[in-house]
Amino acid sequence: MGAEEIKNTIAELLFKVLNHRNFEMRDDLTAPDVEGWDSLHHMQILNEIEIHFGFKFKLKDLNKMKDMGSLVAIIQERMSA
Amino acid sequence: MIRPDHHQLLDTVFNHLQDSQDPAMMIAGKAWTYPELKERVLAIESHWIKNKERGILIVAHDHIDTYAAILACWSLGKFYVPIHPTYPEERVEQIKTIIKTEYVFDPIQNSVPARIAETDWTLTRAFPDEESWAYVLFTSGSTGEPKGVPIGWSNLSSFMKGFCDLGYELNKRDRFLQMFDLTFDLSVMSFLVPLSLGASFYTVPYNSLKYAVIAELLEDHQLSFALMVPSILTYLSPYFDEINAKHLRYSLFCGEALHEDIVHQWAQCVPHAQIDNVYGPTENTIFCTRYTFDSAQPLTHQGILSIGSEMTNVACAIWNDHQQVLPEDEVGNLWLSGHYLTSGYLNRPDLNQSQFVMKDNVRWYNSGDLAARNKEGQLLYMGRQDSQLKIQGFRIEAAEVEFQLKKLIPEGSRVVALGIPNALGLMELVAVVENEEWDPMAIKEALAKVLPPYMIPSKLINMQSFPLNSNGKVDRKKITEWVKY
Repeated sequence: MGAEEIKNTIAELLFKVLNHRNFEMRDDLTAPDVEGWDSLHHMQILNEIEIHFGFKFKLKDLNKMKDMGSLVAIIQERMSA
Repeated sequence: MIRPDHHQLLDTVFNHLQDSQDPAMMIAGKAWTYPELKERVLAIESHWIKNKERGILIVAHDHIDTYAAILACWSLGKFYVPIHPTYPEERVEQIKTIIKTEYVFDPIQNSVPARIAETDWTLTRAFPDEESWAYVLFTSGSTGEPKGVPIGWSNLSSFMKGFCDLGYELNKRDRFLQMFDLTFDLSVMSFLVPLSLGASFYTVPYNSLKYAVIAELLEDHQLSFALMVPSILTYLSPYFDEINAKHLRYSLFCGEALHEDIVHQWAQCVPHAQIDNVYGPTENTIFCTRYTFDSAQPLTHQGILSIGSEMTNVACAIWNDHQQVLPEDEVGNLWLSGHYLTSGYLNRPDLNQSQFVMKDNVRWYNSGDLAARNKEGQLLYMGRQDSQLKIQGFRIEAAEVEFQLKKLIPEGSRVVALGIPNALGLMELVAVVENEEWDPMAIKEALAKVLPPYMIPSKLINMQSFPLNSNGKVDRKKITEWVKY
């Protein structure tokens, strides 16, 4: 799946968890840039991503998720595994 | 391990600073040795050469100079007051007023230069008397003003003695986790115990995904001692099958109710660790009771692990509302006394009268928790007497959040702040407002100007009218059930 398609999906999942669309899906977007994206909601967001894409993140993945670009790359890696 | 009075305790810490060549701490992936830490303590002592304040407000960044500043406070006979970098200005002003100081030390903004290398300085040891304070922490207060809790050196050295008596076999090779914001008193154990041993501690950056960093530190850096809040386990539980922290020898939990089911699973991740549930409010210095988990016969009440029995020089009592002692197994108010107990809240004679009593010449503090003691003398936690909430280990007075919210919604509207577990089992702060004319985003923005981030509700919900209980009071239980479904 292409990066843009994944980003669009993540945007919808962010909306589902955070109830707003006040963010721009850039590669350098980080959690602190987005209203309400704290550690509590991070877990819910990852859970939604896992359900949607049908895989489970590894614990080691979590510390590599520095920004949106790295999150998309990890999703692509997991989907091709 | 040392068995300190407070001068011995400080001497031990400063002797390690003076003599040890070993690593002292790791902050954001960078290791700092004792000689490097000593240099920073000296530089800050020099920076404060004309400072006459008794107490120093320190902006508690995850930074070497935050810890160096705490040690410089102690070497100069001062106390420290940690301020979280995200605290709103209004809260910092309130704290400055209560402490009666204008001076705030920010390790990043103040950026104290290194001292001139040729100068041969030794660390100052102007240690205070035991009635002096080591630190003052501020906790949520129901009237919108944070409550200052001073902890004296006699309290802190008594805690350290009690900690020694718990029988942990520790030495300078041990590696400790320090996962707490410095505004949280569990941080004091997490950095002071290793420094008193000449051992090292590993911090967790504020803006990181704490639970993921903790798991990495436990395994990759082979940590041997970790005090955590139980909610970390909830976050880590989906990944338990990937965790094997085989070097961890002591795994302690404090700050929230610890559930038996998740501890059984955690025990598989830390096969060589003793798992302890420790308990205590800030007012009684860090923690004051301990229960060691026995996987074969865990002691629980409704799935929550026991908080065990008293540490050295602590007394716990279960009393009814008339302050009469209750028999075994009866649920009552948990009162605490002994050497760890604070001298009382700063500038709050009302609370000092209502929360502390003298009984048979012994001073007692009402913890606000409900508990029962079994015939073996073990304490079982039964919940709260009031509406205080524990969200991710943070202690929050629902009344303080409600007090600030009421200023932002139409006059006369009612509001309740509740702790409600979300679908993943994590406790969320939720505010329910009995009015439709409000904008949740605007309210969150306004709250951020007066409350720390952990006190801002993650959800604001409207309810047409609040249910009342038989006494005509707002029925929080029913509202909680309504929000859940």
